[in-house]
Amino acid sequence: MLSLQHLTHLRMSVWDTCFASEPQLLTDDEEQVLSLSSQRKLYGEYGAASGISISKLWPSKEELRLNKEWESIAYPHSIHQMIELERKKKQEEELRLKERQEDLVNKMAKLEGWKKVVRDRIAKKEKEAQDAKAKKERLIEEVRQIFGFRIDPRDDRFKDALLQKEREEKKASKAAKKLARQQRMIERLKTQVVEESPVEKASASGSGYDEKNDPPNTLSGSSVV
Amino acid sequence: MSSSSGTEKALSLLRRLPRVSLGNLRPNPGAHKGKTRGRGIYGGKTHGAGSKGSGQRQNFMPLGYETGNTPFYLRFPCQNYYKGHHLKLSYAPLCMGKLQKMIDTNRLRCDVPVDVTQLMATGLFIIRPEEKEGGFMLENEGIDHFKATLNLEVQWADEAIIAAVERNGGFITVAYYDPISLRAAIKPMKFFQRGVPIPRRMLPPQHLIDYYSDPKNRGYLADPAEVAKERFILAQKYGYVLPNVNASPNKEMLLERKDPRQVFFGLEPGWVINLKDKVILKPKDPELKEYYAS
Repeated sequence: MLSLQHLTHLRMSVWDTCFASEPQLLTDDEEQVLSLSSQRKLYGEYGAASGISISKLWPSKEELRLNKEWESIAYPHSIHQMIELERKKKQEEELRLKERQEDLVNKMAKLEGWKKVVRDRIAKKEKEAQDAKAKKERLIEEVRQIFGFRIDPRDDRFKDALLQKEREEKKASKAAKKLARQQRMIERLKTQVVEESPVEKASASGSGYDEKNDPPNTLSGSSVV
Repeated sequence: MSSSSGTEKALSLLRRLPRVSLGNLRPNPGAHKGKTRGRGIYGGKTHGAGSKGSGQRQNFMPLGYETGNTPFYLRFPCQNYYKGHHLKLSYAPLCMGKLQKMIDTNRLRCDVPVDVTQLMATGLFIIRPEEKEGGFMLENEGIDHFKATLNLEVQWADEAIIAAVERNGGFITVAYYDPISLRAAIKPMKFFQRGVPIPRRMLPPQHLIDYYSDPKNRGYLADPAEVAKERFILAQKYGYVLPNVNASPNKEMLLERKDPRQVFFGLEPGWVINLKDKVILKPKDPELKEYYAS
């Protein structure tokens, strides 16, 4: 049902009324020369009186083919496909956020551990520095004791004495280390000897001979005639 | 044929075609020869490059150079605020107060479904589809004294506005018009004078599909059952009783909705409307019918 009643309030300008009611019909040449859009406009203005065939108003086969091609590229997806794409995008975003949050939670759990490591490292450095300082102080004191009188630590004599002291200390520590190493070797050898003795006996009598499980060698125990 | 010889034909064409002017004349192909650099006896010496100066020395200033000061095209850093602005749509604002005033002063009729065409018919708005304007969006100004019952179709509406319309027994739909359909919708008379068939309304772009398929926004692509559910939920949220549409006298008008491919109420894509003869022409070719029905 025609419902142009909706459009009755629309304005038409003065320009729209300034057209001849009887247009001139186009000749064959003009029809060839004039573009389709112009001819359609003539029809739009004058209606059937323009003499233009109404078959020209709709797209030709070629135009239709081009329109369809254009639309297939400009609007490739259907409604459902587009909604699906949006849903997937949202899902991916949510997944990304979730993974990030989990990652953060895991890292927060380890945070106290990492803090402790850092603190320990700092404490160790401090301790080393303090130890070195304390050692140096001790050496200086000892050298001072040797000299017996107040001497500037920066004095050359003091420095030589300090150097000697350090060398002696190093030697002493080296000797101590060597001694310790020798002691450890001795202990190891001792344990080895203890282990090897039953094994040595066993290997002398025969290979694969176990004193516990196998019966005693009848040959060695008794005399078989 | 001597009766329709070349000259006669040409003369008849000249008589009928538009007035010959400088605007529709063109020299014959090959008539205009391009300017070439001079090499010979009188094109020699300076060879078309003038005397001295930067021109002859071929030391041309780069494009956009402003003789030293920072050129305009380098002055402003990349502004992410404007990123993708050329792809986004803008909407003409329409306050609820203005809508109410138009109805009260009979400028806008609410006994027919109110869509872009009806709103543009008031003559109070300008929408330019070529400037990436999508249509109308409703604003909150004057929402408290909005009392009209109408079947509204706009391009963007927020929750409070939907509630205000539905509280008064009306319906609101949010619909997308692509630029060609919008141009047809805002100026139908001018469109019909072009003598072209009514176009199919195209789907919204990817970044808008979510908005127009959401029943919460009363999108035109949403499931009507979902929309009905959301109407009820919104009524509960804003604290009003949803009026029963079956009881209203304008039930048919209020429930009238456009097909997603439809541009005008009562008219289908593919029809040619002629205002002079007051006829509707429908295509007969099955291929065309299939195309316009898809």
